[in-house]
Amino acid sequence: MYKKNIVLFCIGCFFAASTFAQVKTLSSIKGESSAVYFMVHPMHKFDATSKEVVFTASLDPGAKTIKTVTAVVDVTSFDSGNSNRDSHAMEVIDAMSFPETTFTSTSIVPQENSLMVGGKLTFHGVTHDVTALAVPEWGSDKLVVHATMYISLTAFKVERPALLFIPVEDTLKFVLTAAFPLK
Amino acid sequence: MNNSMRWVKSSIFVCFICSLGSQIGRAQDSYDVSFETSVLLSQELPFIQQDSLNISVVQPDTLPVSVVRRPRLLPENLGFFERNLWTENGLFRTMGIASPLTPESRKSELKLRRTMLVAHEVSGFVTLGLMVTTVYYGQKVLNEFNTSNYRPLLRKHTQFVDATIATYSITALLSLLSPPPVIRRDEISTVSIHRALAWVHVTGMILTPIIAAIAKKGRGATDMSILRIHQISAYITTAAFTASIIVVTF
Repeated sequence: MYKKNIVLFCIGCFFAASTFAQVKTLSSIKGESSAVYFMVHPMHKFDATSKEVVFTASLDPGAKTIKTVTAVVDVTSFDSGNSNRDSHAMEVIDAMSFPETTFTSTSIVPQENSLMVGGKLTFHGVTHDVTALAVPEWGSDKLVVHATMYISLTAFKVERPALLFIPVEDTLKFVLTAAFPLK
Repeated sequence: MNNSMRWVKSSIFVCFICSLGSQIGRAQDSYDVSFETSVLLSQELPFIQQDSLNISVVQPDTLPVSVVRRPRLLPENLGFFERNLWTENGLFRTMGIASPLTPESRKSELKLRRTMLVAHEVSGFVTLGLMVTTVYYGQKVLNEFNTSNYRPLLRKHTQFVDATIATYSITALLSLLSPPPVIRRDEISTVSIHRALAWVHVTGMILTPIIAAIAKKGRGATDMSILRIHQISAYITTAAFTASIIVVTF
């Protein structure tokens, strides 16, 4: 009977411990998270940053694993330092109809020091599967994830913005920074 | 009996441990929810926000609340023409040239804006070509002032002046009358420099022909010193206009 009690106690502890499993769903820290896009025109390169981005992640700080991640960014908030250019970008992506871009992960595969994050990106009202390379930095009180992904503008049915009749390159690079509080 | 009592006691003990664990887990942090072990628990806590910490708990597989602020139909920083032509009570709307200010009308206005700005670019290049040619013939007129070529060169110069003024005016109107953009911030950018240079070449475009008219004395005579000012004014205007085109390429 004593053994049985021990077993039952262990089962109880297991359930209690699993209840303690640190899978948290957290939203990113505003101000410390950002989305930056990089565009290349034959005459110059430029980038635009938005702080109006919210990442949500289910993660286990104990195991240092990220289960799922989502992101939403207000496309009208990107600032390239040239409002005329930003306004032009808003026109080509029809920001009045599609004011936000969303990403939802479908798979997160750990690699050496990084994560290969697959997911669905909805941009300009078009959804495509995309892959991002993410590098997590686990701190004691904060998790910061830097992710990079490349998309094709034409794949998302975006007419490439042109300057002096020369359009920008088709590839748009996104660099995302998400900071999550762990305490 | 004794055995079954022990089983009941043990079961109660296990349940107690489990519930204690889940209660502590729940109380540990308001944002700490174990989805893996307690689906019910996660359903009980659909959305908790902690504004002070800037963190929130959301159900798994749901996107966070939209971050989009309803976009303004018009930017706050409007120019003189934009304010008087395209605002809710702007001239174009009161006259019925433009539709009332709605998100739908703004969409079509933004398409019109793009068309007008592309035409502005084309017209700007045409104007630059005509302006440079005008300056070229103007310089030839000065170089051959007292020769037999003077009259035909002056005629050509005058023809190009007329063409330059016409295309310049079209270029300026395409920009000034275009609907406002989605965004306009107070900033120093290539476009703000482009606009600043416009003040220089607009002034030059007004003053240069006036100075030429002043330089003409009666009976075909010309004041050479004033003509020199006309020449300098034309060069400055062309330089400012060229610079205003080049600057937008950066």
